[in-house]
Amino acid sequence: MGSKSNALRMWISDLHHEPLTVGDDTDLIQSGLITSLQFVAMVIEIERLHGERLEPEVIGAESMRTLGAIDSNVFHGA
Amino acid sequence: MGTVSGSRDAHTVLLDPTWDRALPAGSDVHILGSGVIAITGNNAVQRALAHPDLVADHPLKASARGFGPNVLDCDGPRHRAFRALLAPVLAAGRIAEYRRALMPTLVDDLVGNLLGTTTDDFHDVYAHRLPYGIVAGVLGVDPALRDRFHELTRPLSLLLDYPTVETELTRHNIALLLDLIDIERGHHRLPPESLLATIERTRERKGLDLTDGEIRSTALLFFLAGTETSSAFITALIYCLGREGVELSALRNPAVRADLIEEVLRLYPPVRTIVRFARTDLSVAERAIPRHSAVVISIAAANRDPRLFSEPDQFRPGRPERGSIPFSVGSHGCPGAALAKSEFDLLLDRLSQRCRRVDLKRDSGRLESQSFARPADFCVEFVPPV
Repeated sequence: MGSKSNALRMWISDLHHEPLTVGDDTDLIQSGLITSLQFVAMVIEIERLHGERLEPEVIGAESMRTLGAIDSNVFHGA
Repeated sequence: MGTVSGSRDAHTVLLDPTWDRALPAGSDVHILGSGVIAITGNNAVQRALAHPDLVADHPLKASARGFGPNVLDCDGPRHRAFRALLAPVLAAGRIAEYRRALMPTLVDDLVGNLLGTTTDDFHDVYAHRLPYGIVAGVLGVDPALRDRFHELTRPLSLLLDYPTVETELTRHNIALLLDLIDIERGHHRLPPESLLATIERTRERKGLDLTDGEIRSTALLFFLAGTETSSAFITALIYCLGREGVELSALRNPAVRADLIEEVLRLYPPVRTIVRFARTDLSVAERAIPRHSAVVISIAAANRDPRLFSEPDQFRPGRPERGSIPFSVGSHGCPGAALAKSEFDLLLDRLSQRCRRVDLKRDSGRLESQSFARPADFCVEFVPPV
C-alpha cells in the first residue's frame, strides 16, 4: 500500500465520528462505510490524490470496492 | 453559487423530502457538500435535465445493482432502445383502450369501497389498488397475482428513493418478481396486447439488442414506476380534495378536472428529486459543475419557482402560468404521463358522480419520500350523497 492509499484511508475514516479501521480488503460499499453520495466525493478525492483525470472505465463498484482494489486499479502502489 | 452553511452535510440535508425549501433564495445552483450540487430554479432544472453530460448512469446506484441494466440507469442509444420497448404500450390508442376496457371496473370498485369510509391510511390501504390493477393489466399479469405483486414491489421503491434502503428483503423480492415475470412471459395465454407480449414483438421487429435479463428488468421497473408514483399522486390528489374543500360536483366538467390534476401535479410531483452525475466538467445556469459531481435536481422547487408562478405555494387550479414539469423533461421524461393522467381523470370523474365531498379530518402537514412523494399522516372521510 502506497501513501496515496493511506491518505484515502484517512479520508474515509474522517467521514465517521467514531474511530474505525478500514482494512485493505474491507468492502467499502457492503460495510456501509461509503454511501452513494460519499462515493461520489470519494471519486473526486481519489482523482485529487492521483493527480490525474480518472477514465470512466476505472470508476466502478468493482474497481473501487476496497482500498486494495483502488490501490491496484488507480494508484498502482504509489 | 449558494453554499449550505453550518455542519449539515449533503446527506443530512437530503434526508428531508422538502430539502429544497431550506436552501437560500437568490441562487439556482447550490453546493450541498463535497461533490454534491443541487439545482432548484425552473430554468436551471430544465437545462440540467436536458444536459447531455449530466447522465443517469452511475456505477454505485442501488437501482442498477438491484435491477441490473435497465431503462432508468443508462443513457444514449441503450436508453433509447429501452424506451422503444415501452413506446407501443403507451401510445394514445392503447391508452384509450385501457380507459375503455381496463380502468372503469377498477375505478368503480375503488370508489365503491371509499364511499362512507374514514381512513388514516389512505396510501397504504387504498391508493395502490387502481394503479396496481391498471399496470398489472397492462403488463399482462394474471389478476390473481396482483396482490402478490403489490406486496413484493412496494419495498423495492426504497431502492429508488433517498435515503436508499437495500436489504436482503429487496434482493429477495427482486429475484421473486423477476421469476414471476419470466413465468408470465412463458404463459401460453399471454394477451397479445400486453406489455410483455408487446416488448417481445418490438424487440424482434426493431432488432433491438437487449437480453432477456434486460427485458425482465424493464418490465419490473415499468411495474414499479407505474404503480408507486401513481399511488403517491392519488394520495396527494385525495389530500388536496380534502384540504381545499373542493366541490366534487364541479369535477364533472372535464376541463375543471384537468386543471385540478395539473395543479396538484405542480404542488405535489411524485418524483421530487432526480439525481444525475457530471460526466465531465460542465456548467448549468452559468455555474461550473466539476466532473464526477452528483447533481440533485429538484422538480419540486422548479414547480414552485416564484419567477414563474405567482404565489407558488397557493393551490390555484386553472392558473395561467406554464412551466410545471411534474413528469420531468428531456430524454428521461416519464413515458407514462398520458396513461397516468387518464387514470387520475377517470378517478376524479367517478368520484364526482358518486361522492359529495372529501373531508380532511386531520392533517400533520408532513410529506414522505423523494421519489414517490405524498402527504403522510392525515385522515380523510369520503362523504356520500345525502
